[in-house]
Amino acid sequence: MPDHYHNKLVFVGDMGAGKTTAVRSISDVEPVSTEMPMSVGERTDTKSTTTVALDYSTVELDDGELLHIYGVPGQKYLDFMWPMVCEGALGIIVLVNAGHPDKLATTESLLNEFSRMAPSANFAIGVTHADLADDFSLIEFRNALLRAGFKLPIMKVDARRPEQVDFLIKALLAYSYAGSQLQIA
Amino acid sequence: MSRRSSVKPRITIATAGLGVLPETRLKVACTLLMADRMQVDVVAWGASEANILVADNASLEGSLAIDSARQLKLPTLTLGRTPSSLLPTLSPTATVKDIAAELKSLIRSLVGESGHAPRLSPLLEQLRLDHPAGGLQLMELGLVRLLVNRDSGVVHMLRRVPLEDLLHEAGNPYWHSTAVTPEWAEQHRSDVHASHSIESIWWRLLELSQIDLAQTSAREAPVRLAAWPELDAQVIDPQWLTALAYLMHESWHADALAELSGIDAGMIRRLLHVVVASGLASQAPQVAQAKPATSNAAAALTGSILKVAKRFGLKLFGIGHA
Repeated sequence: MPDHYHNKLVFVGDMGAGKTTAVRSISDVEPVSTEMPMSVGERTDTKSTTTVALDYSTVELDDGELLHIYGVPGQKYLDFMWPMVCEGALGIIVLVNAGHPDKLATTESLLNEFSRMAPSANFAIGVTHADLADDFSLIEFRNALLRAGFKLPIMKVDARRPEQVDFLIKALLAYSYAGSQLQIA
Repeated sequence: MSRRSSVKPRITIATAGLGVLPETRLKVACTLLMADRMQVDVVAWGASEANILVADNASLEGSLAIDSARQLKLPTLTLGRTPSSLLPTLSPTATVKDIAAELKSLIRSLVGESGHAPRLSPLLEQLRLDHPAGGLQLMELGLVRLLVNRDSGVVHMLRRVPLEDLLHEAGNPYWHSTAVTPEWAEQHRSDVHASHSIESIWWRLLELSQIDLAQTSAREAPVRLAAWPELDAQVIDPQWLTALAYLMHESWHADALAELSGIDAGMIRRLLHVVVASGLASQAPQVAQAKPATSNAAAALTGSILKVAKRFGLKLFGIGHA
């Protein structure tokens, strides 16, 4: 089947943001994952493994082409794989754990790094685990990003719920499409 | 004829305590108003949400309705033998022409020059984030009791009531509003069962077609989103995403956005009202025109987006989705 350069969707985020779960929840096939047990000190009640390289899966489009889906760790020491995954990406979704103490700085850093590597890609942000972070306000988080110059789709998402991950992808696609129709770089 | 000139304000007039003759003359007067492009429904007081009250202040029923209307700040015409120093009054024997003239004056003051119809419910008025006024308001309707804090953009539910119940009652005209102090709010902190952002409430209201949002913005000015709204993926129809995406990029008039997004113009107006009322309207002056993608790279990108969107069930208005 023919394959297309632009048919690539990337999830990026720190450890525990939900990348592996998000990729799995929308995949047509069993994802290829590189999960390893976490060290004892880093384990939590809900997470005992972490992705050490990347997650990869596919979704088949109507004409038989594949949409390639990647989950990429946001840790800096793994940044060597960022450029090859992001090249030509249709869109990049930054996942951030609402309970992460440095979520704003981490998100800003990822948006800056990835928009430099993939200048034509559009971005969206999915905030995970918001139900476990009582003091988290999506509006405050959004407004802080806005003040930092990032105006983009952002929403809470439960990575285990395919319909919520779908909705986030739809928001990214709609935003990308509108930008392309208006010829906004 | 321009579309603007065809707008007919739809006004609901409630009556209370009127005799048969005054009530009949009132109804005939309302039919005369159609010649002035005013569409008026006459209902009994309390039957449905009203914009104007016409009552006989000499009757118990009329007098009670006038008291309630005063609390709701509803324009009122008294039609009775007892002149009121506070309200416009006509004698019960007033002619149809006199009644029509008085109603016309009330409706014009209500509608203003915008051509748009009247006020929001007391709760929705308090939830507007496009007004600078802040402060704390206690809102009560039957068993529903909540505290609106516009400074922090949050509604605190003071009784255990599902958000859905609040949303369905949002347009009710009988909400009672009381200004309270921060000290009062602090004392009742333990009564708070749940809190919701006001912005998210507006976006939930978007899906409730029975709530009339047309009064939230009087002018048909171009609108742009200052930021992506707080949406609940479980209740928002994905079709809105396309329109929201365009609004994130540029300012739009309702008709142009409806044409581009493929969404009904009436629904787009409703969306724009929510953008304004939720405080997310940007002041950006320029108005966008859709331009087709011209470069090969842009066309390839658009093609890819359309294919992927189709796979995810998102209907974008474009060649790939014809």
